[in-house]
Order: sequence, then C-alpha cells, then structure tokens
Amino acid sequence: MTLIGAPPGPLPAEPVHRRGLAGMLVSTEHKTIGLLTIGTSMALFVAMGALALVMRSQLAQPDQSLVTPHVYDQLFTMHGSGMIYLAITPVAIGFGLYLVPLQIGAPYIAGARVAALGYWLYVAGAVSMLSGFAVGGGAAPDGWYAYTPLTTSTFTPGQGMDLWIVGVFLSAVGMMLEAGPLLWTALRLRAPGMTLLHMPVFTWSMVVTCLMVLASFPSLLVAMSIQALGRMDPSLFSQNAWNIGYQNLFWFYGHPVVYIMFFPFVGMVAEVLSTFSGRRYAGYKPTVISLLAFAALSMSVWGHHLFTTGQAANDYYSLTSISLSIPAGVEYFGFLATILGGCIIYRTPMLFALAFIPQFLVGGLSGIMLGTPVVDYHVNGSFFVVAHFHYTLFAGSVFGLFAGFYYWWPKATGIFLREGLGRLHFWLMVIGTNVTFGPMFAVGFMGMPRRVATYSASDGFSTINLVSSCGAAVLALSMVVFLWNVFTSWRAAVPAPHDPWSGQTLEWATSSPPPLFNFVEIPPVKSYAPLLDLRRSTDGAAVP
Amino acid sequence: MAAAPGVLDPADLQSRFGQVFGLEVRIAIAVFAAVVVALAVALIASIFRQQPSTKSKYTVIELLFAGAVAGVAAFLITTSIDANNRHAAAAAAKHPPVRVQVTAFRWCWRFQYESAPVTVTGTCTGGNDPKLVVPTGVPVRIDLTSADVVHSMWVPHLRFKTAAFPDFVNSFVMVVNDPGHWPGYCAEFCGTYHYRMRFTLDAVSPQQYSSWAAHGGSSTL
Repeated sequence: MTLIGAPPGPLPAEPVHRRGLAGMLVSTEHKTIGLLTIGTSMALFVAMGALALVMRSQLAQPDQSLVTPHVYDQLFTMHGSGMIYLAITPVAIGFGLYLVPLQIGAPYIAGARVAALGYWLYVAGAVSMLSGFAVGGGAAPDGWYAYTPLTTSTFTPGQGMDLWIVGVFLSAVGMMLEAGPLLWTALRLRAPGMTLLHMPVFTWSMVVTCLMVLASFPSLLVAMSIQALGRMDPSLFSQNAWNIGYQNLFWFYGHPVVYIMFFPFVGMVAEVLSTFSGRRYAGYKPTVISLLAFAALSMSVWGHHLFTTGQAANDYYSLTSISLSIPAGVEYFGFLATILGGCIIYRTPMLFALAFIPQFLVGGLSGIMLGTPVVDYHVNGSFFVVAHFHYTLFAGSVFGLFAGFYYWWPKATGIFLREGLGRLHFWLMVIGTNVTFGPMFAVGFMGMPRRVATYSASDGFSTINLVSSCGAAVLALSMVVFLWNVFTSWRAAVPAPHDPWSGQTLEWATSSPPPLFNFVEIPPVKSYAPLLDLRRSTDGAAVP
Repeated sequence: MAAAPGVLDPADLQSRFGQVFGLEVRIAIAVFAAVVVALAVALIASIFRQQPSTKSKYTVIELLFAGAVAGVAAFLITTSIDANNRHAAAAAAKHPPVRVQVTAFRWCWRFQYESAPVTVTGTCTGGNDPKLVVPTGVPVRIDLTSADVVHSMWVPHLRFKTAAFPDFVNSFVMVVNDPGHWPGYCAEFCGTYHYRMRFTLDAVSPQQYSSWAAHGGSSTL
C-alpha cells in the first residue's frame, strides 16, 4: 500500500492491531488509544455527575441529612477531583490523540507505546482514587485541592486519602505520557504542505494544551509527594512554610489545568463554527498567537487562588489574572468574526458551539471579578466561585465537548447520531445548566460558603438552592437523552459518508472511520482549510 | 484620595467593595450585551446572506479591538491595585483601641480580647455559636490564626474574609459603623463539621461594649 504524502523514512513495524477486545486493550494505534481514553473518561464523567446529583438533592432544602456530612464531603471531593483528573482532562487529550494525526495528515503518532502506557496509568489512577469508596472510612473527603494540614494522617485518617494521592499521581503521569507523544506528533509528523501555520485551529489548541501539561503537571507530582509526606509525618505541617508551600505548588499546576480543560474545546468550537458557517475560520493567525500567549500567561496567575491567605503578592497576581482578558478577547473576536460572515446551518454541533459563546463569557467575566482582590475577599470560598468555574468548565468546556462529540462522531464510527434527540439534549442542557449554576452566583454573594453539607433555614439560602437543584434534575435528564441518543443511534446504524458536514480539514478527506494508516491519498495542503480550498478551486471561485 | 499610611480610610471595607464590584458588574453586563448582540446579528444576517464571506483576515479591526480590550484591562488593573492598597492602608492602623485574637479550631472559634481581658468561645453545636462583640465606629483589629488546619474567617456583611493558618497570623482592621448582628462563617473546608463552624458579629454602641467587657464578656447584652 502506498501512502502519498506520508512523512519521509521507512514505515515502522505495523502497530499492534489485533482484532477484538484483546486487540483493543494492547493496541498502540492512535485512534484506538484515543477512543479508549474518550470512552473511559466519558463514562467517568457520567458517574461523577451522578455524585453531584446526590449533593444537589441534599442541598435542595436546609438542615438535610440525606447523607451524613462525612459522606457529603466524599461526594464533593470525588466529584471535583474525578471531573478534573479523570474526566475532562483525559477526554480533551483523548480527542487530541484521535484527531491530531488525522488533521495533520500523519499515518500514526510518535511514541505510540508511551501513549498506550499513559492510558493504562490513567486507568490505574482512576481505579485507585475510586477504590477509596470501598475501604473503611470511605474515599478522600478533603476537596479536590486537598489542603494540608487537613489531609495529613492526623486529621484525615484512613486509606481513602492514601489511595486518592496515589491515584492522582498515577493519572497525572498517565496524562503526561499521552500529551508528550501528541505534541511530538504535531511537531514532527506533519504531511508535506502542512506547515505550522497550516495546522487547523483544533490542532493548535492541542499543541498549546500539551505544552501546558508538560510544564505544569510536574508541579502536581511534587505536590502529591508532599501529601504523601504528610501521611507519614504530619508534624511537618505544623510549620507554615509547608502549608503555604503546598498551596503554591498545587496551584502552579491548578491554574494551567483549567486552561488544559478549556483550550481543546475552544479548538472544537472554532472548527464547528467555521464548518457550519461555510467559511474558513476568521482571524487565524491572531488566534494562534493568542493561544500561545494565553497559555504562557496562564502559568503566571496561580496566586489568585491565594488572595485571602495574606501570603501572596496580590497586586501582581491581579495584574496577570486580569490581563488574561486580552487573549481571551482575541479568541472571541475570531468566533464572532467567523459567524458574522457565515451562512449558518443549525445542526446539533453548531447549536452547542453557539451556546458556548455567551455561556463561557459569563464564566470569564466572573473570573475577572475573582481576579480582583477586593472582590475576592468577599466571594472567595463561596458558591460564587462554584458558579464561576461551572460556567467556564460546564457551560463552556462541556458544551464545546458536545459540539465536538456530535461533529466527529460520524467520522469515528461511520454512523450518524440522531438529530432530533441531539436538539432535545441541547435544549435541556441549556436550560438545566443556567438554572443550576446561575443562581449560585447570588447565593454565594449572599454568604453561602462552598463545601457545606447543609445550611440553616435562617440563612436565607433555601429558595435559591431549591431552584438550583431543580436545574440539576433537568441537567440529569439531558444526559439521559444524550445516552439514549448514543444507544439508539448505534442500533440504527445509519451510515455516514466520509464528509457529512462539508468539512474543511484533512480528517474529512478519508473514510468514516479512517483506515489503519489514516489516508490512502492526502489532498494538497495550501492553508489551514485544505478541503475548502479544493472545493473553491474546483468551483472556479477565488481562493482567499 | 489615597489614605495616609496608618490612618483609616473613611470608606470602609463594604463601600470599597461596593464601588469595585459595582464597576465590574457594569462592565461585565456591557461586554455580555455586546457579544449577545453580535451573536444575534450574525444569526439574523445569515438568513439574508446568499454566500458565506470569503474574507478571513481582519487585521486592522482586530488590532483596534485588542487594543480596546487591553485598555479596559489596564483600567481594571489599576482600579484593582488602587482598591487593594486602600484596604492595606486601612489595615495598617498601628494602635487600634480594640484588638481581638481570633483562633479558629475544629470546629468553632475563640475570641480573646487583648484590651478587655475577655475570652469568648463556644462549641458551634445546637445554637452555641460564639459572638464577636465589637463597638461601633471604632477601629477593631483582628489577629487571626488557627489551632489546627487552614480555616477562613468570613463576615459577608463586611465583604471580607481572611485565612487562618496554623503557625501564622493574618491581621485586618475593621470599622463597623452601625449596630447590628450578622452571621460569620468558616470559608475554607476544614473537615466534617465545617458547615456549622459559625459565629455572629455583634456590633453594639461603645457604651454597651464597655459595660459588656467590664462584666467579663457575659453573653447577655
């Protein structure tokens, strides 16, 4: 078999690609590793969401004891850490592993065995963290950022915390081992004509994401090692330097990770917006520059999590944090400029991408408020923060995730998802998201701290919490509709062609699903929208 | 306009918060409205459009736009830093008349009045939340620490909180102008009973405060 346009040099030995379940589990083929990562992380996303549903049931009314406070503490800890370490970060990297080689015209990924090992370490990490639920004393109960000295063996006895620390460490190493090969692939295995500035926006967003993973995750590994020290010698944390030191090390990772959980979905939204507007993405170069600048700047803002500690240079971190609005604004310019000149087609992926635009903005604007110390002194540690990050991560990133999921599902499976159920999923999710998280801004402002197992009737938080919990029920329903869509579409198996959406990037130039080495023939690449160029030139229209 | 060091800014914690937060909310609403309008225009214009635009570079407009965003960001940064400096100036009062050492512990609060001397504490169970009694119109300095894990002392009415670390003291100065009582919470997760680790800030007239302190801080006022 000849591969026209494949990178120079001999092909390696054929990747391990046996058939059946066993074949899947030992595969070093990038699409398989990508699908395994996506599938595992989306299953965990649903499971971690179910934990949140229990919390919202408890918080719907004051003075409730649906679960004991200790169980409630495990719920919010595993919901938060499960979502961040085990669901959203891996799903983003999984999409990258699947799509980037296709988008750049590569037949395989670099370092495939490393990436496969990464997947299995992630799974081991997930098993370790979640097995805390099965041990006496329960799972880790101290929140996803696990401040010392609370997490030392003095204040949190039991194996659940130990299993969590090991699990976070393993899954973080796993993600680094998936991200490194992905970055290397984008830098070294591009097809002829695929210069850096011809890479699609999604690929650029993954490159930048992988850079942040490699730069920030080591700090998490050190932070978890400090946690392990605390399990063995809690007396260390009677000294302030260890406690504030842990917080700095943790948040040095903890801020970039939220951009790791954001940029891939920005890339997905950019692809979907341009495809369903019928034009190439507007403002490509400024977007690439702003992604790089945004990533670099995001490494300098972590102290805004420390504003109330009295042990950080608040003015400096306020400056860097508020400055994030500039590259963010440039990206928004790209979104809006693309759709303003488009002929919009309202398929399910486009609905999610359009909703992303105003919804993420709520999260971003509230982030500016949190980046202002005088404001943060009031709303830090309250439901205002919970609202902020659910708007960025859920109303933003998860909507971007579903845009990408509905968009690329036909490519990966060769069948369609049902459009009607997709729209129902979308509308239920919009309503559920905003009714759940919007009111949290108010109740946080009024004085409700976060991570509280219950609150008093006299607090005045009851009505808003009830509304929020009703929203959560609608959200749960939207997820049921989504899962039903996946199930029934799989059964119906309506076949999808190689390019169902008139896509612009190389993955649409191969079959659905793609063959083992991705391409039989790669089209010429003259810009970041090679298929659009081809269509325009065969139409005889001008190619901008 | 900036407070001289050591002299309390008459604008207390609450109004400084109100000014900055109010400004940011107004800017946020304006930005959100602009984006929603742009979105609406895009969707409506698309109905009448025959062909998608083939233009893909908007360099001049984009540069101007980025410049405008940078300008707003710079304005917000200077506002933020200026407001924070005023907070810091207010906290620098050297010899406030009332000084309370607050110790957060799992899971309640201890208030040790340096000047009184009075100690107030509680168990935070079944309505036994301790009261932090302060005189109105008088600077009160809080020196906050923890006996065990990291906590956070938050009085929403004051729009202010600060963290309680073991082996560390965070200080702030507050002035409560009007009498009243308001809830206080722990705002940093500290274990099983974090949710009920509450106190009440109780501001009374200076005369009532003096007689309360003279009686050893009894709970009846």
